[in-house]
Amino acid sequence: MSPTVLVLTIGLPLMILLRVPLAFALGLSTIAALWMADIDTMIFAQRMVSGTQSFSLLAIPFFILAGDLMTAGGISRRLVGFADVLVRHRTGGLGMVAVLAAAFFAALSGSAPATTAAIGSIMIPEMEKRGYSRAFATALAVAGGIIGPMLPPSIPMVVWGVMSETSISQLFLAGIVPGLLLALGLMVLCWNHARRHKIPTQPKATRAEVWQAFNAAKWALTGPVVVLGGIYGGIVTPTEAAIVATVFALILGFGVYRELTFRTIIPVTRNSLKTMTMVMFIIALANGFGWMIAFERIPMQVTGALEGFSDRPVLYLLMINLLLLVIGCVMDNLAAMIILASFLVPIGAQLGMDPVQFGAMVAINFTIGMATPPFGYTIFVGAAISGLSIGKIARPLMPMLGVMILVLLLVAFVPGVTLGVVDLLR
Amino acid sequence: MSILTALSRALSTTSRHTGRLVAHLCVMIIYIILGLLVTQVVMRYFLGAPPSWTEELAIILFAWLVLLYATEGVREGFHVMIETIPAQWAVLRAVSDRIAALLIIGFGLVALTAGANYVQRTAGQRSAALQIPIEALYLCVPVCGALLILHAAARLFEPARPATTDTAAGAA
Repeated sequence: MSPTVLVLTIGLPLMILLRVPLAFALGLSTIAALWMADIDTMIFAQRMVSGTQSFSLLAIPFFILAGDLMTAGGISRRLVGFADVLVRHRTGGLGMVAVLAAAFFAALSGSAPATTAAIGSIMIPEMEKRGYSRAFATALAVAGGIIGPMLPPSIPMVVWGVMSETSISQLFLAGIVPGLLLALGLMVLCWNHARRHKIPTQPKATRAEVWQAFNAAKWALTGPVVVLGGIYGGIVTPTEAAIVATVFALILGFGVYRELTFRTIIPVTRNSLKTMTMVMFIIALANGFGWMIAFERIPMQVTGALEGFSDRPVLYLLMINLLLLVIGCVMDNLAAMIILASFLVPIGAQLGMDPVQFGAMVAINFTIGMATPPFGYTIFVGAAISGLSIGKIARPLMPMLGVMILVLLLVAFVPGVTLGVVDLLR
Repeated sequence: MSILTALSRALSTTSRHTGRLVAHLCVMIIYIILGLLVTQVVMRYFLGAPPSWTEELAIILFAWLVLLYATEGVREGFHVMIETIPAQWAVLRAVSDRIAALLIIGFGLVALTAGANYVQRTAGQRSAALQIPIEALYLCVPVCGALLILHAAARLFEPARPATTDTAAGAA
């Protein structure tokens, strides 16, 4: 192993252990590797900027801002209200409400922690009041958050689309069935949980109640139609759709629901900026790190080592998924995508998979890692809302992770799960 | 008052004021980008002719937004990190905080110098659509470097921060 490779592979985890923020750890190991390889650090400055210079990536801040504005503007509460009248009377109904509301919210937001925050803050206390354990309710909000980046729009799919030059619109479409399958799987778990713990069901909503809840949520429900219709009607690009979503959230928050004011909009925006910067600064610096990894030809060595498996495709695909799951668990999902893109793309080609299916598989793999420590942003949000330790949430989360892995296997082995919708509109 | 205390106070005040200014600037930038892209969508949809420069200006501003607010992340301590040291080991945490701050200063120095070199190297080039000097884009790197040095230096002298669920923060 060359000293440069050593710096890249040892320096990064070492700095992370020293509590250096991830973005800086990525940047500093890149700088050290550039010095070792005797390359001008100007490359570092250039890569840092070029990491942000993509029109597609501009979708990220605006999908985040739109999500925050919707939560502050009362949209997520109305979505929960509508989901409530639809399924609360079934066994495990309240859990299903949380999942359904997460799916509604996911169609407007591309972020898992944002989805968990929006739904968890309302549903965790509510579920606890009606007989669910706080741990189960929190785990459900965490797992429900994972629907966020599966159903379009999706921040990980934007990033993968940019890195692998795959159509972002098609990647979005590929996530629809997996997202719905996850929602369905989680609802089955809710039903089973409520049956086993004998949690009482809620009275069925009357027609008047359904109508009232629909009326309150109707504008919020048109959001996904506007955003997704815009993209697939060929009217707007995904980035412009994020702009449309933001404007939509502003109009609803200020004009229709009147829950946003000029006083509240500044802290909401700063909060979005914070989230956006955490993501984008990692992307900007992972860009240089990924360049250095590619420069050292590490991808070729790894793909070369894996080539022996290519005549046993099922085993190969299982191995790749296991590898990605493990990486997704121990690494930030977007950083992992950017750093690994240069060797994942050829692996996809080796496997003979459609780039859209492969991309969806990679994105979903890494997204699952968001529900596991140490970079499990979603589980941390859940822990912060409920005040529970990660350990307490982990137990009820296990079967939910099982559902996610099941969905992942379907995505990997059944092309129709991802490509069905894409082909329908292709 | 020793020179060191005076220096640390001056640093912390400068860091706080600059930080506030940068934060306000960034809130403005994101709505300017929003305005630019709304213009783009509206002009394409209603007039059939999107302006050529909105997209370019938007992504130049985007680079500034990310690199400027990232410095605010050092001041407020919101960057993604992993809590590897338990809260009760205060001394070890204080030491690791200082090491991290020193490393960020090092990062800032490289961004400042390499960024400045890059600005010089590319001077004279112009952006494709707007034809503005390309420095307007690349200048964000040395500026980011300088601000990082300021905020990280201020943190060097600060009392240790309490353990938070900083790792909880995250986005995608």
